[in-house]
Amino acid sequence: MNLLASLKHHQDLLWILVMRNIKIRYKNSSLGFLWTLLSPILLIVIYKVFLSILRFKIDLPVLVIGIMGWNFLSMCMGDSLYAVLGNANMVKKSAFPRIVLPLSMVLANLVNFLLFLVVVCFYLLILHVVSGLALPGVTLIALPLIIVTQLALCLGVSLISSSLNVYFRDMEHIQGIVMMAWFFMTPVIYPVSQVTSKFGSSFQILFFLNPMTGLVSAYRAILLNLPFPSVGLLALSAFSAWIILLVGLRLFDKLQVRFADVL
Amino acid sequence: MTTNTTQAGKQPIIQLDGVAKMYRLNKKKPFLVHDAVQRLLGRGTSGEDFWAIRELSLSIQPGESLAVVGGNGAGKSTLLGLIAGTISPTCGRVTVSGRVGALLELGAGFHSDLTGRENVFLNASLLGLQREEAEEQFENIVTYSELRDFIDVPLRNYSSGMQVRLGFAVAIHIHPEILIMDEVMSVGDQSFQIKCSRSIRQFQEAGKTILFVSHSPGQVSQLCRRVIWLEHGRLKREGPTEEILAAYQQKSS
Repeated sequence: MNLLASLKHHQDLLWILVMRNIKIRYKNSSLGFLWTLLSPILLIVIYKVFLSILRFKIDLPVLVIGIMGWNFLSMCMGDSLYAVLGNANMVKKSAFPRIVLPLSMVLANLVNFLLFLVVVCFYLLILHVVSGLALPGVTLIALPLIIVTQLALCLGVSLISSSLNVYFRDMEHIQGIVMMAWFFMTPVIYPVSQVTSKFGSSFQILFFLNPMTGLVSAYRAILLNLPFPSVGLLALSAFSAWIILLVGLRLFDKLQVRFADVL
Repeated sequence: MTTNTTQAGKQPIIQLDGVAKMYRLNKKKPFLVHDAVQRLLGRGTSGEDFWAIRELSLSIQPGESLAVVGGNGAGKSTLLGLIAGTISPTCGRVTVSGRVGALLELGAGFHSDLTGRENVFLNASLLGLQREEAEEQFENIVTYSELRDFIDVPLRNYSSGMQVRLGFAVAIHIHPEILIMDEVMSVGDQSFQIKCSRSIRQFQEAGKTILFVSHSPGQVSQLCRRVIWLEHGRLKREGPTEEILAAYQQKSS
């Protein structure tokens, strides 16, 4: 494939940009990279305090895992708006496959996500020791598959929004609204069962057509050793994630031709 | 184009066939969704067409040094962008066979929060250098730029002259087969310019192809034997340096 060949040729550029994205984010803070570990820890602490005060109907580990998955997507979405626009000078002044810009941004966020995952694993381990929370079972081997699928989704939506925002700056405002609706459609602050137990199967299909639904429930099922939703529904979510990636690749490829003209 | 028949049989390193580039000048903001969609498709409704380059055919042989002259807005930078591959043509075809080192600007992709060292690697990889080659060249780049004491300092603490020196040092060490320069030699102080010219002469001696835009007639006649003159995006004249430069200077004075 043409794209893979050119990416392979530019893999050094890709890694340098990934490192640049990570470095720049923390460049001027005194704690630096430590923040990638600190923010999820503080996040867990804050939710712990407020969940106990507000008596929310969700367990903290379930909520934290939901936020972990959602965070990856929303960070990518936020950064994607300026993945191309913010590098206008580079696009105009040198020839390289433009896709490395959103791709390196998504990969930098993947690093953040993986560190978040490490913090969550430690948290779950503490809960296991303290209150006997079940440890993950054999399904843990499926975790990389879920992460790769989310990576595909995040890249797909980032390709769409980074390229559209070059031509159509209203994307920024549209995206804010879309993300809010998407957040409530995704079982982040409520358990999946709250939807699946109340509604019929046709609504469930609609619910799992949102790739994030399948991803978040899979993370929870794996990490908390809970029963999985039906394989069919999970496959539906995975399928739509990969479709979004394909759409993103096609759209980006079409739109990148004239990036240098309009930037 | 008949000027290339002298080198018939040799494969041109750069070939342009009927190339044209159109920009849509959007005077209005896209207001309706319809406008925005049209703009995405590159068919703007409220714009005006501007042809930066029209019907241009050109071939450049390996080892040739070619200067592009012309007034502001004649399409010089667009032409270099088309050959460098940052811009794609509206019609026609651009064929380039060989590694291009495009210096459309010194230090493209430089980031002020990164150190000189980090920027060298970023810039080198943007110019198409592999990691190992960049590591091999790193010492030479630092020596050439005379910025050893500053190499681990963030770029925002560099003066603009220092940034240019670092950018040129990277550019000269990427060993491309084709070097494209857009007025990059007119920056920097006297000693830097001399260093610049010397490096470019070494490039020529090594049989590399050079294509550049310059507003300095002295530099043009010093560096190349063939000049093309662009006017309103068209090839007005092309030929031996003295002849074209004389005609061009007469026209512009």
